[in-house]
Amino acid sequence: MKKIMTVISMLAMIVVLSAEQSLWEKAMEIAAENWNWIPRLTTTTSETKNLKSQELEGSTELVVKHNLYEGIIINELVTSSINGQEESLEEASKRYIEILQRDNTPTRSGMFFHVPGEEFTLKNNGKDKQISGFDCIGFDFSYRDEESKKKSSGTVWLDKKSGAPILKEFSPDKNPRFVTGIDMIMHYHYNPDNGEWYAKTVDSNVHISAMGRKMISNTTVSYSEHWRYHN
Amino acid sequence: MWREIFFFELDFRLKQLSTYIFGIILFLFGFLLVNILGGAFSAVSVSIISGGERVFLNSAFVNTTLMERVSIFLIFIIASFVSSMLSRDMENKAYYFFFTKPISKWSYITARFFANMLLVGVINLMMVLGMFIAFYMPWIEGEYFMKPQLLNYLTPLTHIIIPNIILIGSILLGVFLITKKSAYVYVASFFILTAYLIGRNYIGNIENRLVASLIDPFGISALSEVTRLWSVAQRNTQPIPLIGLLLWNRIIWVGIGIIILCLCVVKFNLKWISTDNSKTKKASKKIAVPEDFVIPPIRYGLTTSIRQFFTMLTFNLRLIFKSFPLYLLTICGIAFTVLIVIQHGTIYNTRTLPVTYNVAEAIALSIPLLMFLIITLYTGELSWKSKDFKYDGFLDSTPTSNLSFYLSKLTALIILQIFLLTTFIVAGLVYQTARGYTEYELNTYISLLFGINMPYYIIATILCLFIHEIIGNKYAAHFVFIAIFLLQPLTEQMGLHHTLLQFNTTPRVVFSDINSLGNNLTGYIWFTIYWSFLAILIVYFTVINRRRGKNDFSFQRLWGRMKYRNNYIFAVVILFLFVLTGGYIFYNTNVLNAYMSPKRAERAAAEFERKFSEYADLAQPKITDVNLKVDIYPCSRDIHYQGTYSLQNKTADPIQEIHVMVPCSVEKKKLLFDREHRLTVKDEDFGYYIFEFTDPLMPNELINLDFAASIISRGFSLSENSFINKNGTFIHSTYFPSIGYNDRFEILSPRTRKRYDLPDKKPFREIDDPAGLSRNYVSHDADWITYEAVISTSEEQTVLTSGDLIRNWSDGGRNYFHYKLNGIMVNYYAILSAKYSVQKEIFNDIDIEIYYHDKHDYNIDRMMNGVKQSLTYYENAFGPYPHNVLRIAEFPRYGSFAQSLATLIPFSESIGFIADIRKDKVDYPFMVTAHEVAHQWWVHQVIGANVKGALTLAEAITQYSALMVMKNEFSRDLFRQQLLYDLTRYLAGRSSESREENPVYLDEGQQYIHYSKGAMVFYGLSQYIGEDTLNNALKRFVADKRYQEPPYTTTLELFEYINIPDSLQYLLDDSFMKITLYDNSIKDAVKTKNDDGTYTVNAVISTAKYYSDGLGNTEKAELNDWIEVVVYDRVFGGGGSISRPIYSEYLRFTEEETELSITVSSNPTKIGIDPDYKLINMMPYNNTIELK
Repeated sequence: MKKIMTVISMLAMIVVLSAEQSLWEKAMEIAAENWNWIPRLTTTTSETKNLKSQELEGSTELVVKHNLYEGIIINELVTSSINGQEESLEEASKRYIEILQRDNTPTRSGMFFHVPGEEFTLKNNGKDKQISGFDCIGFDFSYRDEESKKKSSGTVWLDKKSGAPILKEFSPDKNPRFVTGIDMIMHYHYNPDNGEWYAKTVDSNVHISAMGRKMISNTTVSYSEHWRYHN
Repeated sequence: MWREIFFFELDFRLKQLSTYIFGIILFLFGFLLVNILGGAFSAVSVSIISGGERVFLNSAFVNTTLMERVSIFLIFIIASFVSSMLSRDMENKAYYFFFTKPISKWSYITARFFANMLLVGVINLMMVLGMFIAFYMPWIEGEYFMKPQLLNYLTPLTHIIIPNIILIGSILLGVFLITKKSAYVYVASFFILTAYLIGRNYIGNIENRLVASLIDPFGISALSEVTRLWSVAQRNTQPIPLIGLLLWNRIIWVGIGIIILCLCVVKFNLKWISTDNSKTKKASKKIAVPEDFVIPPIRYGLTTSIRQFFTMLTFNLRLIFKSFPLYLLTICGIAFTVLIVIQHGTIYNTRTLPVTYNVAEAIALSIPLLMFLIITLYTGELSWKSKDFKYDGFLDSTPTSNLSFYLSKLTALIILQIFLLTTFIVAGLVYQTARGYTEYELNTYISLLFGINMPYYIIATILCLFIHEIIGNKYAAHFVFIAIFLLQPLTEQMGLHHTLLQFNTTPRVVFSDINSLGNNLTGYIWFTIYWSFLAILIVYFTVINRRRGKNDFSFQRLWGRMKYRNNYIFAVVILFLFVLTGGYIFYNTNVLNAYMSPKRAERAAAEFERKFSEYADLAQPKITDVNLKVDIYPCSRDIHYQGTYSLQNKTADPIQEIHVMVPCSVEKKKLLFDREHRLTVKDEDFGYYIFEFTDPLMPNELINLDFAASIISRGFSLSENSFINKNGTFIHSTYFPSIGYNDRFEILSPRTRKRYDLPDKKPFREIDDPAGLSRNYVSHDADWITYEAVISTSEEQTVLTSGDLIRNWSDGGRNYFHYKLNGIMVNYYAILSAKYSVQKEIFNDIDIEIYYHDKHDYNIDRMMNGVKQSLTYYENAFGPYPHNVLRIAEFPRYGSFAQSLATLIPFSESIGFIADIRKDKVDYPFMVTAHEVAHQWWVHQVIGANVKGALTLAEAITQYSALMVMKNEFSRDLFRQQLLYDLTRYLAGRSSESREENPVYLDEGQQYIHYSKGAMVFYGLSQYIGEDTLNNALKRFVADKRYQEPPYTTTLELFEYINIPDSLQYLLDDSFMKITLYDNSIKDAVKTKNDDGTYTVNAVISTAKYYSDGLGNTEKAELNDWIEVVVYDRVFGGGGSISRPIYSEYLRFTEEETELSITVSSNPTKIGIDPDYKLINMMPYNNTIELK
């Protein structure tokens, strides 16, 4: 009997593991099908609060438009405001030059394009959650990005049915200077009818400690009006 | 006192032999140079200067160009003068005398400095004198010279040479005063020379020509900026003006030179020499000799000699490797090499991957300067060390053999060279690693640098040691040695063409990944042996003649030493071996293989023309079918072939005789017609045969010619066949018989034709010439042919030729390939055989195959993409591709080109397979592919008559087609960069035109016209009238002229197809029928922000149009032209920023200066007039301006 139970439990494990495996494979397939979505607009709102006094230290809002021009995705500043005051685009362009110059050409990179292995671990954490109407299953992961070489870990929630990634909660393993902690949540849009899948919003909480002051910066990046880039 | 020192220094210098040696060498150099240019040696081509045959060889432009190059010599003369100027006071302890007198340091330094620099100037005048006198020599071809004008000789001196003497002299003086060592002066010379060479290579690439012209210390860049776009007429008549950038450059750098000189004087301390005596102090310690000291018994013999050798070797090595300048020079050399390596193989500003042979070759190219300097410097140091430190008398009295002395020096210098080459190999490996390339091939480095290069430097070292032994002056010996190697290239221009007569010269070994060290290796080895024997003889004379004590050179002593113990026998044996090796080489190069000096080849071409040109217009049948059986033997590098031509009489008259030409390089020729005939002329020298038929060939009648021949490789030759290789054979149809007289063998240069009393000849016939219209420009003996070939090769190789592969089989250890073309093609084909990897795809029912060397897979995808995009565009624009297959095949880098044959594109390994394509660089594998694929329409379907403008139809439209494909693939900035490249190539090309510039429709094979300007004007037209409109015209033209039989089409017929509105008719005339140049620029532009958020750009635009004649004489034309004005903003993305047009209009310009006011919605950053080069703008860098 014991032997039978062992065999059954082993078989069950194999079934679970292969189910996990196939769910991840589905996630990868969806990512592969949808690798080239580009948001027309990126809206970034950010607020920084003093943790001690709970006073607002500052806020910014930035809207950037992404269009295709001669095969390059160009980033045009639409509006920019600091503490509710709109600033001139010339000034803002100088300040956000690094963001504007960024190469946003989509590539087939990121954790959804990798089979779990040495640089990328994935494990079912046994938790279920309903997110945006999808029954999701949680997977804990640890991933080292190929390009930036930075490591992050967290939980990715996949739709039980389709395998589509619906939410990703994660933190970098190493914080930048003056940052004591970063938590990020990435929400994905998924339409089971047509298979469209792309990042919708990213919420991040950054804890900063500098010159004796502790602050928290809450940033939300929203992506909208998505279009497909054809390479 | 200044005056006295000045004249004392002059007097001293004038008593020195070296002064006269310098003067005589420069005089001879100037004299020889003009003799060579003036045709005294009847060299075939003199390419010392660019400018073509129409530029007078003693114009101010040519004189300045020549003297600018000669200023390289001056660096070493100045170094020699400066280093001995003060060091001799140290060596002779004369400073005690000087510094105890009331001499100001200003007088001491400046008087001597200016006296020396004056002499350098006078020595340079000797060259001018040599050039001037040479003009009056009776054998000079006077018509290529203008009446000598003093100003043309003096302006180079005043504008270039004298300012450079002051600058270089001041720098070197400063170096000497700081370091107190003459070795550092030579290091500084090397730095300056390196800066000069880098300047020549790099400054031309700087887009901001204002900066480039000012930062160049030698004024070369400023000079070329002033004269860059001069026409032939300007080059002949205008003196070099000391204005603008050239004037500012000279003021700045002479000023810097004077400041350095003043600083030198200010910082100079009269106690300066005596303060550097740390070593002297050490040396002055008395050494106590023990009283019981006994001189040990000395045994003389081989062991002693060996011990002495090693002792001296250790001493010499210590002397070399303890010398700090060595490391400075090495570091500087490595830096220079890195710059050369980066540039080596760069095409269209796109670098190649750092494959080992490329890096090793770049090292080999960059190190001669360093090696010669180090050889000169350290041979001098080792040869003169004992004399400089006054212990030569003691040393020479020791019982040490001359051979031990000599070998210890030579071995030390060889070890030094091994050290340097090893250092460079390590630097090469580091460079490869830094660029992410890790396929190291140490054996390639070793074989190229140690195997191929090092023997040359060892022999040079032996010569240098000899010169130091013969010439009793260190600095003069330095100069003579450097002069010998710098002047050596002139020996060839003087008519000593055979490599046996050019000291230390060997056949060039080119490494190819496909064919390794290639076919010249055997010849290289034999020549190295040959020169080694001569080097041993030089060693013998150096050793036997070694001066011991204060003796001068004496023949009596030399002969006495030769007779001693029959020493001369050794010399005789070596001389015999030298002559024997030379004889063996001669047997190979001149008996087994045909050797033709350029002059003899020229004479032969003239004789050929005189003998057979009467048959040029003789009616001949044309080849209609080619059937070949070819056997390639890569191991022995032999080819045997046989075949049949079907010939048809396409004329209206009977043909009585057929003329056949077979290349002289083929053997065992057999020619047989299938009807009764008689061989009436058999000229084996020119491979010309005339067959007379009993029954003439009637109109439309067919006749077959069966032929067979072999191409056999024997021994080695000087003009080594680089087409038949152990791996990578690539032969053209030119190896097979041709029908009728072929005028391609005639001499084209008007100057050379005149020398041989040949009548004037134009490269192409007039556009309406009936004989020219009766044949196409590719093949004189066929219109369109059917083609079939069965070709065999060794079992590991694949054969490629035009057509579909019908069958492939193996038999008897050989591979057989049966190809047959579906359809017809021009009579020009090729056969390739190599070990290949292949990538295949089917696209639009066409088999695309790329055959490449297995290591060269880097850019295959780009080429494949290029083929697919090209096929898509061209099929849409011009009509269907007529065959089932299109192949690209790599061949060894002995040729750097790609070409298009029916269904087959041979592509050199050096122009794309190893290109390192980055995001912001021109993807030239794609571009070249697009160009060659376009030829499948423009040559292989539509071909022009053999008249003027033929290459406009073949190449200009092809390049336009490629531009259109590139436009869809490249970013706007990159595409604009390519257009600018074409424009500058055209402008530079017309400046050095050797005949006359033609308008595009009458191009006579001038590359700068049909490739560069031709493509640009077609592109410009497409932008003015619309891409589709032009392409539709071309499509109709293709449909009508496809596979056209004679008379062939011309450019004039093409223009009839282009529907152009009346308002733009002038554009067609200006672009194609005339030589039109614009001078469009933005003089000033400002932007202002309006209240409604828009911006207004106010610009002052200058426009002018000129018509030019063939010699470059321009006249202003009436302007009433549409010219595009574009305003840009700046957008970000893709990792940077790019300019985006926000306003683009064609505006009609009529005035020289126009004020414009343009309102745009976003923030403008730049405005341009014709920014995309749709017109030919002669000042292409001023057409856009950043907005303030």
